[in-house]
Amino acid sequence: MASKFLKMIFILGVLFLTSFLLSKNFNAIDFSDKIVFVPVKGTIVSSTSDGIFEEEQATSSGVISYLTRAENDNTIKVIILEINSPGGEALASKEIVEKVKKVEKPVVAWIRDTGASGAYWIASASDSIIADELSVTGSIGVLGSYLQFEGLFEKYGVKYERLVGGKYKDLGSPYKELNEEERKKMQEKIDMIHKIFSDDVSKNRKKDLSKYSNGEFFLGLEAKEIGLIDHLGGREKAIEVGKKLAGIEKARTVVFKQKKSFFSSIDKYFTKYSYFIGKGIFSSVSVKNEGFEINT
Amino acid sequence: MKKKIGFHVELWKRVLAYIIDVIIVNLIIVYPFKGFFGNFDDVIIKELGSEIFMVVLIISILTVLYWALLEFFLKQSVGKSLMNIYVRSTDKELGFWQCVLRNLSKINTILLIIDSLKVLLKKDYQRYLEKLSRTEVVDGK
Repeated sequence: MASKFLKMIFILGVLFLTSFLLSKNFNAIDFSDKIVFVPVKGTIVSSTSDGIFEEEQATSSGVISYLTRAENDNTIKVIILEINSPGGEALASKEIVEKVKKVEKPVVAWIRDTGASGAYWIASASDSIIADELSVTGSIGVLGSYLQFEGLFEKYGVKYERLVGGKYKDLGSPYKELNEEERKKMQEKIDMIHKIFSDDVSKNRKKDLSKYSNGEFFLGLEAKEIGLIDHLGGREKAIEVGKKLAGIEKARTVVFKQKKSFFSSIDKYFTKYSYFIGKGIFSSVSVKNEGFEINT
Repeated sequence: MKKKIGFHVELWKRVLAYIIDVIIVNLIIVYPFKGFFGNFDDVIIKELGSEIFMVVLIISILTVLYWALLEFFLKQSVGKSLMNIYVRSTDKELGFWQCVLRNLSKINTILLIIDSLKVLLKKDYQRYLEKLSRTEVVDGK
């Protein structure tokens, strides 16, 4: 019995030792330098609606949390912002810009298909911008738009009853047309946002880019010539520039894993599934009120 | 009550023995790799595909070896020993490769469940791999 017990302990010991020694080799990998890719994909928003109709979105809180995690991980030496976004909410973009500026590690912006408007603003805050010659970038401008239904309402005999405390309270309401004074007021605010945006981009890029801040978009090739970006290239170029900035030769590329619970995945699946069933049954069209939005 | 020596084992004993063994496998084989997998809470290493494969392969081999070695040398794993059940060959002396074959499904719970369908549904006393390896689990000596 004792001999059997000893044999058992011996076999377990051999297995543990083998596992321990082999694991040592693999653990060493994790302490190597890393380059992390932080995605900024889709419309930039401050919070996601998580709806089933929604296109891809980059929430400012999500991007900021990724940047914070990258900052706190000592093995991460370079952050590459993988940008494919047409821009989005002005404030959400600015929040990310502020965070990028605060990060003390090299940040490289890699613009893929599109890095325009608010997304370009974010890129401008990085240490270096890489884009393909066909990438769409720039578009330094502000868009304030909304659908205005007054004419439509009149046609159907629907009247907007205006009761306000403060004459500008319903400024930008989709139910009434702007008067000249209101239009001027609204334009002033858009101009203010545009100035903040444009000035900050020039400051970040350390050159006066005001003459390109008219909302025009530029292809990567043009952007390189006028100084909106630093290098033409793709992923490899971004890695190369990142390594150079960090002064490292070797690094592994990593991405952050989005933590999704099993139940949230199931919930999303069933919501989508139910929608498509419902779509077949319920075919009426609903009109969603579009509030006034300022987008960069 | 008469002790059923050499009789086929009740399912609960095998399940309990398996649970005990899984705990031990986790402690002696999987736990040393905790540092490696711990990092995946935060990041997915894009270029670590081959290393992840290697680690999973090593753990799988060691896991099978845990049962195979103990059953070959002692006819019992730790769990089986505590449940007083053991493995024997249905025809000849129990060989090492028989022990390896009968435990191959233990690298993955789903594989083990599929392998055990015959025991679970048909109330048979042998898993598919036990049948294939010509082995069986019987009650204590």
